[in-house]
Amino acid sequence: MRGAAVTTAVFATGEPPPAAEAEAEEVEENSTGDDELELGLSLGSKKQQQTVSCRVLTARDLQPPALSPDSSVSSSSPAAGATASSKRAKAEEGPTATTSPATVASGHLQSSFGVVGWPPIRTFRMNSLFNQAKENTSEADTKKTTTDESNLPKDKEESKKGRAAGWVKVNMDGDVIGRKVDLNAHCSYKTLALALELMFTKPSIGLCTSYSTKSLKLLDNSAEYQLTYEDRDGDWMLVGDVPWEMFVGSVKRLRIMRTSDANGLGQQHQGIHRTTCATRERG
Amino acid sequence: MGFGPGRSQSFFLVLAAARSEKLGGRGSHVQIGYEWQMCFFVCLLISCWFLGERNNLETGRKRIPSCSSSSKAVLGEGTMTYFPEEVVEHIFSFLPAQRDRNTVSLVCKVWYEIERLSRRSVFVGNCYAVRAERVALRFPNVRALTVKGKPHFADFNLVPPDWGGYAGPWIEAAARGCVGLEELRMKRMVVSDESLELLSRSFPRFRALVLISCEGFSTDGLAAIASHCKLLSELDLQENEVEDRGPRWLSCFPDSCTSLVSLNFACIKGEVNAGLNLSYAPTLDASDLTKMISRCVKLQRLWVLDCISDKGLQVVASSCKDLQELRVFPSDFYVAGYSAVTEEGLVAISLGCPKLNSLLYFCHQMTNAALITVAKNCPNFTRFRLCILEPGKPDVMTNQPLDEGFGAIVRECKGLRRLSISGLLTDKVFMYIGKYAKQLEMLSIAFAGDSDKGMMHVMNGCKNLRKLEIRDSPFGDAALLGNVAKYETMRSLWMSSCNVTLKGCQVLASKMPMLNIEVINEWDGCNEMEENHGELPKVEKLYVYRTTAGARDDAPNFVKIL
Repeated sequence: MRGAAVTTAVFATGEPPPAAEAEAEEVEENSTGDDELELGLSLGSKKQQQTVSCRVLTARDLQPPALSPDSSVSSSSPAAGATASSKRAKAEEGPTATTSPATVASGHLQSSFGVVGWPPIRTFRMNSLFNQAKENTSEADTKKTTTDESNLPKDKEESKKGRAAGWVKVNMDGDVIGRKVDLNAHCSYKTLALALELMFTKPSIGLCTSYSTKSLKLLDNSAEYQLTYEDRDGDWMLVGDVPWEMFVGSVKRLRIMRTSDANGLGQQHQGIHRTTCATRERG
Repeated sequence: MGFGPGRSQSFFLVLAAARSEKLGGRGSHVQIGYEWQMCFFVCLLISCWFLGERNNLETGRKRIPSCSSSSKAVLGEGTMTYFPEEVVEHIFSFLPAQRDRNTVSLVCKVWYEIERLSRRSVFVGNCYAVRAERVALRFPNVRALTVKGKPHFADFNLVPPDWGGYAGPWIEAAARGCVGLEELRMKRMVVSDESLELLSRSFPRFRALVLISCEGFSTDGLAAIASHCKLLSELDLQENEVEDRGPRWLSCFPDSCTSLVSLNFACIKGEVNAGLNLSYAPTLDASDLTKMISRCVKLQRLWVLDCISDKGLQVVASSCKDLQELRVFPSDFYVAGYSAVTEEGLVAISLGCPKLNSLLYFCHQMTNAALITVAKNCPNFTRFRLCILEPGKPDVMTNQPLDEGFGAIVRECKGLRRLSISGLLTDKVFMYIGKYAKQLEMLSIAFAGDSDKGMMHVMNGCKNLRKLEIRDSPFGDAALLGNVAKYETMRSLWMSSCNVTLKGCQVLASKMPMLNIEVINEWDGCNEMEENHGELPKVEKLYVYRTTAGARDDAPNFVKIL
């Protein structure tokens, strides 16, 4: 640090103040390059340091006042809806499932979005963009069948559901790279298992360890791997025991475990943490 | 004649003042005053030094190497202590930059005391680098406190929940020791409703709360702030995970607080000078968007989604000549090959906006040629973050790594302080970074490099490096241990999914006791150890930071502190 260099050169003798030097390094300068200027929506008058007095505008300012901030999507682009549905068909998910792009790995090169923490976008932004994309496609669908009035509450409901479950991490034993999957894109265990299988059995990015080429058959109790999840209470459960909606509401993350390690799972209220993982103390 | 406190004090003040003059200039009125004040100080100090010298020569007294007590200051013994404390404090007030204030506090005990009691603003870059109580004890009169918690990659879910970064100890310490607190800024910290409640009741002059990327609180906590902070003028909540318990909290603001909730739908007919954030609005029609932007000729900051497309960026380039900061976020995550913005948009911007100094650009493809052109056009970059969405993707024209492109950026942009690299990159790019990026303070690396040499180039070459964060890159123990003294000069190092082993971390811990080495393993090690066929287990996530506080006591059980 520049400061430190100067002191050692100049201040040769004398009593150093108590631990000041070490502290001084910790309580650092807020370098102007340290963090980006944030253009958040702020409620209140910011301290005006610049000569300009204009507030930062956000998209919400530019929309007509009738719209509430929640229903930020006012129109859906038919093109997005069309491409989304064609991709859905390719992925062979259920016809009622809404599309979440990143779960459709299907050997496509653009599967980089299945990796945890990539692309480097804050969760807040990621969720809001995915929710908007979902609302785009769901509106494209429902516009054909229902009236305009019933659209709004349905969209709100779906976007609320989006925030409830959303993206969960998936790790597979033996694989260093974690993935994530959007549970809102699925409506059943079958589609989820299929998507996960695609994610973990197709080589992508080239950084993963080798995979077995045979099907994982995640929901099959006799297969080599089992799909498990951690629920809100911190217990590890086998996926598939409870109704789908209940699962989505309580899942925190997923793990594809070797069947040998998954013994002892199965029923509700029985966690595996006693047998394989260290007990986590929840403080 | 030794180099006693008088001379060192004078030297420091001149040095600090000179540095501040460089940093100053935010507003024109400050700058003019500065020049005159600088002259005044220099004369003052020279005469003071001279007087001090004469004083000592006359009395024949040996110069005392320390100026230890304030009584001496009052009596006028010593040299710089010629001035009463109030004057010294006043002189310090012209050193706004914290680095300078830290520097002057090191000169002697008297200055340390004067400085700490008059310090109004404290910035803590890592909440675990120093104990909250210490900060509160040292700076009892602080008015503005900024604290940051989790490492940056926590924004992208790479840090497990419950890792730490609790705001509680900071708010409690401040409540006990710094009752004059007016502003609190926190980033990536866990803030509870109880803490917000305590905050709202402990500081009668509290007026500004800024929470960025925080979590752990609900609208109930905000209600407490609204109800009890009578002087609240700024409430800035950005990208926090807030539990929404209803809109009741909004009505907690007293009626007198009319300036607070100002969600005005501003008319855009006027000039938009400050900034425009359209990054949450994918539905704005492209032509409307470009029409609007073409009118914003004084725009300095622009955040958009990539559906603005290269064409839209060309409009920006031709209209917004004052543009300083541009962020282009990805909007459609899936479509392969569909590039809303490409290297061409970036080149257009670099041609049209010469004042551009801060960039965050998400795209699907890039070329070396484009980066070289951008570097030549915009040598003023201080922040350059390029994220090519597909990890390890090469130059789309030549299929080569992007080493040369980023090399040009660091070579031309001599003031570069922050850099994020992506795409296919070999050790060569790190050689360039180590060689040219001398002002670099923060570097983010993902899926890059070939060997330990890459990281070592950076550790050895980047003299001003403060934060280094690496993921999914083949750097191992040799790189980690290649320059251990360096970590003392840095705030932190993050490495995840690299080749570092536990043994390497242990060696580092034994060599550098002033560092906290946090080994974060979310998953039980047992399975991973089998996979490695007898090799040493690799550390999943590693967080190294310097600290005066020792190992933290709030670490969860998946964090091992060596």
